Amino acid sequence: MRIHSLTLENFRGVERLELRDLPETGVIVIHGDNEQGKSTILDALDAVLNEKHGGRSRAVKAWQPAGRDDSPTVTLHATVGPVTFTIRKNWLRAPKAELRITAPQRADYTGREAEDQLEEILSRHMDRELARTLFLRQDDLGDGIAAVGISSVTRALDGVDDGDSSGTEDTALSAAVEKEYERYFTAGGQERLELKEARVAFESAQTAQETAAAENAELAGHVDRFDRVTERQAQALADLPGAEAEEQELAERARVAAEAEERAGVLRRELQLATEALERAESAVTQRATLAAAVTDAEELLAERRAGLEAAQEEAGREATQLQELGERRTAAVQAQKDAAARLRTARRELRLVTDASRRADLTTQLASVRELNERIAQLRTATAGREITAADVDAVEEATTELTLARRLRAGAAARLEFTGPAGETLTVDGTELTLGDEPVSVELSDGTALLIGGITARYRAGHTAETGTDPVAAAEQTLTALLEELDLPDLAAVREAHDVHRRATEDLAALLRERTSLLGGAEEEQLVAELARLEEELADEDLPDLDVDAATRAVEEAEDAGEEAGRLLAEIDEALAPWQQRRAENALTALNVRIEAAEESLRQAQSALDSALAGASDEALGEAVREATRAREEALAQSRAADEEVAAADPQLAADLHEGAVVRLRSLHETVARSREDLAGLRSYIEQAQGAAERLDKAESALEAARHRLDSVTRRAEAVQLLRETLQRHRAEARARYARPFAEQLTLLARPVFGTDVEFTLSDQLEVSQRSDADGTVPLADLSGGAKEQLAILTRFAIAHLTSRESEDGQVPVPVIIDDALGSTDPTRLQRMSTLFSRMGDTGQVIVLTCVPQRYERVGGRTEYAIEDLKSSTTLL
Amino acid sequence: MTPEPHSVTFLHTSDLQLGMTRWFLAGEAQARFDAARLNTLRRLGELALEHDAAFIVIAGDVFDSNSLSAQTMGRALEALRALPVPVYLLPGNHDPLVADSVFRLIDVEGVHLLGDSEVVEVAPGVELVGAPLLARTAATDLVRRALEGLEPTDAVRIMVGHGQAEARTHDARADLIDLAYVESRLADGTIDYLALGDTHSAQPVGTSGRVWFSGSPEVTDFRDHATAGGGETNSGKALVVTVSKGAAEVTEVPVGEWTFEALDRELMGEEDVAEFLATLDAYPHKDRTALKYGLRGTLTMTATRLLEEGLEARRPVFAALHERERLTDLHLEPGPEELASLGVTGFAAGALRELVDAAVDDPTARDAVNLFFRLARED
Repeated sequence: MRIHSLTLENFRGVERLELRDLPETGVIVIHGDNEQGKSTILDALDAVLNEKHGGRSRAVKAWQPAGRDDSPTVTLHATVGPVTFTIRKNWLRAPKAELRITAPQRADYTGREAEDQLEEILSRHMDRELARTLFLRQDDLGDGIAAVGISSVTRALDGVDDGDSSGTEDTALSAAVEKEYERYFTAGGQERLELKEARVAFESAQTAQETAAAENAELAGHVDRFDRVTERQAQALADLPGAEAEEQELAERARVAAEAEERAGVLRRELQLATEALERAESAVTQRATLAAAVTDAEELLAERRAGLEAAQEEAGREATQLQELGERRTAAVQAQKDAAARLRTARRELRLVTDASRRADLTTQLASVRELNERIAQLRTATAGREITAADVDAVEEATTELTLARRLRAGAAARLEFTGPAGETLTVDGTELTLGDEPVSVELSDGTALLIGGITARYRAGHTAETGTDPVAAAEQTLTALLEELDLPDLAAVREAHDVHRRATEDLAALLRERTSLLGGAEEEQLVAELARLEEELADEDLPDLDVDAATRAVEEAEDAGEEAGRLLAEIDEALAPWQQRRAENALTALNVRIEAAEESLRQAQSALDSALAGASDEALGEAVREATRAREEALAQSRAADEEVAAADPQLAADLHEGAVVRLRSLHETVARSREDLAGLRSYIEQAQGAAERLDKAESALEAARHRLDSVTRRAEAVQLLRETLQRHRAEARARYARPFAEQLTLLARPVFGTDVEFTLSDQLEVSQRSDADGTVPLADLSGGAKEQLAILTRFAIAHLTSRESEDGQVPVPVIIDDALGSTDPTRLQRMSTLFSRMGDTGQVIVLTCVPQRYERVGGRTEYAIEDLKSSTTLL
Repeated sequence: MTPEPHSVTFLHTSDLQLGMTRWFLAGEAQARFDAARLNTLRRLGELALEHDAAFIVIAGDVFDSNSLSAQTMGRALEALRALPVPVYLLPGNHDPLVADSVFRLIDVEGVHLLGDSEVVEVAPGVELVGAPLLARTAATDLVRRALEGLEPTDAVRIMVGHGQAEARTHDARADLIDLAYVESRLADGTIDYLALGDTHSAQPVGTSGRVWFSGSPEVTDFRDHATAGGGETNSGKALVVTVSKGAAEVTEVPVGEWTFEALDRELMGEEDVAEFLATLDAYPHKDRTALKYGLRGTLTMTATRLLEEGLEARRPVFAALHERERLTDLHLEPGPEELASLGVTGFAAGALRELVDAAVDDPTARDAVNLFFRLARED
């Protein structure tokens, strides 16, 4: 299609807009601000081509300018294929359509006809799908265009591929096939509608048939059973009289047999009695004999026993004698043993006494020594009692003495002295102490107060004041010493030393004494020995002490022990000899024999007694007679019984009873059969009545099933045919499409390289939509491309499609204008530059209509025509 | 003085099988068929009056089964009640006299049951004897058994039986009617006519001319022009029988109104198809006609479409019109110009070629091609 001119009147917000004398090819830029009418132009184009003039939908009404009841009008002058025409349409108020065809032949149409003709022209000469892609409705500059749905494109691609028909896109056929498919299947391949219904109907017909068949079979069963039961009943009724007669006859027979049996029983009992009587008689005879024999036996036994008496008595006598002798000897031995024991006891006692006495003596001695020692010890203890003068004490006194001496010496040294020389033997008294002069000078120490008496002169020394104060060391030392000595209660050092020595010695002696004591005690305590002694004293107090010493006593004991042993041994010997006799066998034997003899005598007495009394009751002859009589009676009874038994055997009462019983049972069964049959028949009749119509229902169900099967087969056949057709078509189409992808991709890439770079490549889906773009930087899915890239891609795709279809059309031009509605808003200037070249190229082969706010974007597009919307809208028509 | 030879005229029919269903008759057709069968009773009544028949004999299979719906039973009773002459019913193998037998429910004046082999005097000097089926299958020759209980008589005696007299298969059947014996009893005057039922086409049996199957008064099965036996070739009739001692005159009269036919054709081109369709068109009473057809041959697309469209158009008019699948073997061979005229190219053409090749052997492919043509041409 090429648009020559387009006029809008009262269309949306536009009072009048005229696009005139558009070039047949080239880029046409229509620019203006938003809301000024660019998209209105597209709407008008869409309206005039697709909306019938009679339309009154809300969309149509929206074209009416607000608040005015004017008629929106659009006039289009265009060429589609070989046809050049002008179409003018009014909507809403005075709706109208006028079509004037100017080429190839003039024709005018109005109204409905105009619409039809227009439609005819458009559908015949324009690829609607292509139009949709390139021409109208661009608000969806969306993610992709499915190029494969456009038959022009695919026809073009057919030309590209030199191979034979690789795929006409016969969408009409595909749609028809799809529609036919949907008659039978859902999108997911499930059965639906007719097919599903036919299947469901078939299945339920099957179920119905099964049910009816079952019902019918059941009815047939009942019918058969009815016939059988009826027959059985009739048979039973027929048999009844015969059965009754038979029962009676058998009853009589049974009765007769029973009587015979009874009689036989009676006779049998009589036989039994006779037999018993006979037995009793025979038994009496036997008993008699037994009694006689018993007497004889008893006599024999007695004699036998008596025979042995004498011997036994002798034997017993011998035994007694023996026992007596040995008994006496034993008594003597026992006595001897006792004596020996007594002797031993005495000897032992005496030994004990002697031993004790000896011990007592020892103890006494020992204790005396001990006591002596105790005294000495006590003495020593006393001696050492009191304060012990220890070595330390000695040392202390020595030291004190030394101190004093020293102090004195010092004093003497320091003290004033008087030295006296004089004739020897002259004396003087110093502090009461007489000093005798000797060869050597006598030094007298002077201290304050020292009094010297020389002859009759007393001199008392008085010390001058000295620097010394405090205690007088000598006094102190004297005090110390005096104190010590007082404490020790000794006069002087020598005494102390001596006391210490004495003590020491005493201690040593004490120790020695103690040791001696201990040894003397021999490990025991004194108290123990004392106690022992006391005890012994007590024990021996009242005793006569034998005149023996310990050794003698010991010897006596030994002898007594020996004697005892001997006595014991002797006694044991005797006991051994005695043992066998003590059983008194002979005596016991004798006693036993006596007892048995007595018993035998008693037996004899009893046997005799029994025999005598029996004889008193009946004589032997009488018994014999009784036996004979009983024998005869029994034989008679036997004969009678046998005869009766034979009779019974012949009558066979058991069998007769059984037969009768059988007849009774049969009779009863027949009655039961008749009764039960009656019941059964009644029941069956009711079932049969209820099931009326079952056969017909089955018949109908079977017919219905057959019909359903045929129908299902028929529908299935049709469904399978469309399935096969669809599948085959789809398969072929998929193969064909696979072959499109390459050439289309090539075309797209060719156009895209100048814009995106020489290494750009596109991946397409089998719908020929771009799915991803790859270049040196990587692969990006379509959705992730930038807004600008997407814009560019959308346009490039359109250009690729347009390019391909231009090759296909006869005049080498794009069959439908490419309309770009204010795109490239997000495209950077460099890209814009490159895109511009493409625009120009597209313009060479067809109309490219660009609607934009920013005409500067398209500055670089060569050969373009620009229109400003305001100019187009001016009410005076240009030219 | 010898009594005048007695002669009596009666209608002999059998195998009404009231209540029978045919699967190929869809709902309304089945209902009309049911009505037609019932209607034969009325028509028999008319015929009886027309031919002065003293009574009507139905020799077995009066009902299709013993357990019929109340509706079927009720209407049958009404029809029987409306008969102008007495009617004698014999239990057959479809309606044996067993416990659930429908006959026990019939208490209508003028309707008599031949439930045993006792002699029934229907008019002075005229006797009927039945050999009814007392069980679903007969174990012996019932007719012979009934005959054995009879002596020759001066009266005109008509026996009524149900079963086969000649084996149709090679199986020996215990209940086969001994024709020789029957003819001997015809000869000695024990009976003068044997009215048989079971076979649905009217035909005489043997050579005596006095043993006949009346056939069903309304068609039950297809007449088959293709097979040897021909199927049910002579149904839709009743017999008007005039019997006298030792002689019988039998006339077939048409009663039935429906047609069941099986057709067979070889179709090699459009002409054959046209001829076949014309044959269908020729049936005068299509609503009372059930047809089944077996077709063999090879057709072009056009011819195939002609055939299918022709059948589609006519199917609703007939009571039934369906294909005999076992006997149908049509091949599709589209002509080159046919393929070209479709104007399919590209992958669609490729798909079509594949299907056409497959259609030689595969009936589904054949149908697919057919469908393809239809859809392609509908564009």
